[in-house]
Amino acid sequence: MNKKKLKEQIELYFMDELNPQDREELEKLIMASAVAKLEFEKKSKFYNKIASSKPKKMNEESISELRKDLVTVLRYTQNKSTIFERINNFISSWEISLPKFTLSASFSLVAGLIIGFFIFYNSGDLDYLKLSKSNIDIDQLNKSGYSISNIQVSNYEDATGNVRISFDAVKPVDFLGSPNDEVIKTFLARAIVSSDNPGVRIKSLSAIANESKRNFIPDPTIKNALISALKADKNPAVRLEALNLLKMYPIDGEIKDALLFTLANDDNSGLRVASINAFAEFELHHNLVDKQVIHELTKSLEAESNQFVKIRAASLLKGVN
Amino acid sequence: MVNRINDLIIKAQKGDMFAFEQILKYYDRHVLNIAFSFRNSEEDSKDIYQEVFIRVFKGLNNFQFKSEFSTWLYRITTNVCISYQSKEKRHKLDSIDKPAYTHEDGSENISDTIGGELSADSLAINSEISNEIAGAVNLLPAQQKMAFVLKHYEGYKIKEVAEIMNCTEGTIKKYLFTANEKLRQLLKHLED
Repeated sequence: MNKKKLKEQIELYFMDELNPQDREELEKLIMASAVAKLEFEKKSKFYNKIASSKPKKMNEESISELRKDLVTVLRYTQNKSTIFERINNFISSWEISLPKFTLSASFSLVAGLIIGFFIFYNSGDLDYLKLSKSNIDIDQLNKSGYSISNIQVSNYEDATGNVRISFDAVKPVDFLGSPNDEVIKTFLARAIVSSDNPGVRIKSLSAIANESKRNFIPDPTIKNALISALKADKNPAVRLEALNLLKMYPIDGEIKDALLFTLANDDNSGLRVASINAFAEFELHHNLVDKQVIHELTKSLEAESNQFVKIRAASLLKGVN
Repeated sequence: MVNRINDLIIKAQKGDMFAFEQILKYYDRHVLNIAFSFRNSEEDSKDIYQEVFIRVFKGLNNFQFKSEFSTWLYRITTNVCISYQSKEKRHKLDSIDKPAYTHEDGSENISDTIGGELSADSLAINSEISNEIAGAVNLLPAQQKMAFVLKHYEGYKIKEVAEIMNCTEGTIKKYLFTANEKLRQLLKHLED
């Protein structure tokens, strides 16, 4: 037997993979050969070390908890597919002919367009403040700091020959007040939702945050603006600041929905984790984590690509189960 | 027993969740042990456990009884473990100095790994040796490590390891010999 074969046979001997005949032959060789005996002893030490380093087994309690979490996830997965299948079956059970379906769809579309036209159509006149030449003074407007722009000649009136002029008279307004003043609050809320500049949006949120730390007064206008920002702002820093401020509010259905929306839809993993953390914080004081929340958390566990988000979701689920 | 498991599988394939739970209870401990032996981390093995059974649940209808269910299940387990290590390797490298079997609070359970009759000094030394061995095992390539874990820690025969890992017995022997040789080199300083 060459040395390589000998080594392999000894390995297989310790792995208990030799048949009785090969085993016996090897044992005889080891007794007879000093080289084989030395190799055998070296490997014996190695296998003793390996045997002593076997990892411990997981305890029964961990396994039961894990099993419970898993079954929750699987039940959710199963229910989801059942509902889908039911809808699919329901649709496929419709016995509608193609011409009928096309006709009814076309009718619905036309009806929708007509209704939409009447709902959303506005006369352009409403956009302008109507003034006559007797109550407008261009010089006075200029002196008062108005800037005039966007002058338009809209039409000639047939009978009189008068000309209709429209323009924007814009005056900058500066206003100092507490963030709890109604006017300031309204402007802050509007800035959060509609300012094009993310810096302005963050400044508005910071102003609210600073004031809230000193004297928090829940305000529905601000809350709605925060929810809108959390759901729709393009800037993650703005969304995170909005989420942090929302955590100061007493939890309600709207805030819960916004957090769920973030958990399910925000493409920023930090925001998704922040949303789970918010649920965890709210859960300390309220029984907030209901079926809907568990549903979203389970979905996160299933579909989430970010490992940390998964771990946070699993840990919250574990906490509530 | 095999018949009973097969009945449960057929029921589970028809959407019987209770049957699936019975299958789960029968096999999940072993899946978790493989994952834990392979990853040496409770958190990682829990992730692997979830991933394995979600895959099994979703793919159960594809199981056609052409092999033992356990072989199919453990094959999924080894695939998830190996891909988990590959993903992790892209992010970080394990250190040979990393403690091997630690609890979540960071403490090490010495009595679980070595006999209680040893002195405190030898306990500490043996624990250190175990840690070094675990660290060295972690340095093996994923396939060799999986073959090593299944053979030496989970006690499978080479033939069974080959079935689980979907390789020939020759390949598994090669993995094991190479892994053992690498470990002997890495642990040479412990020989005395």
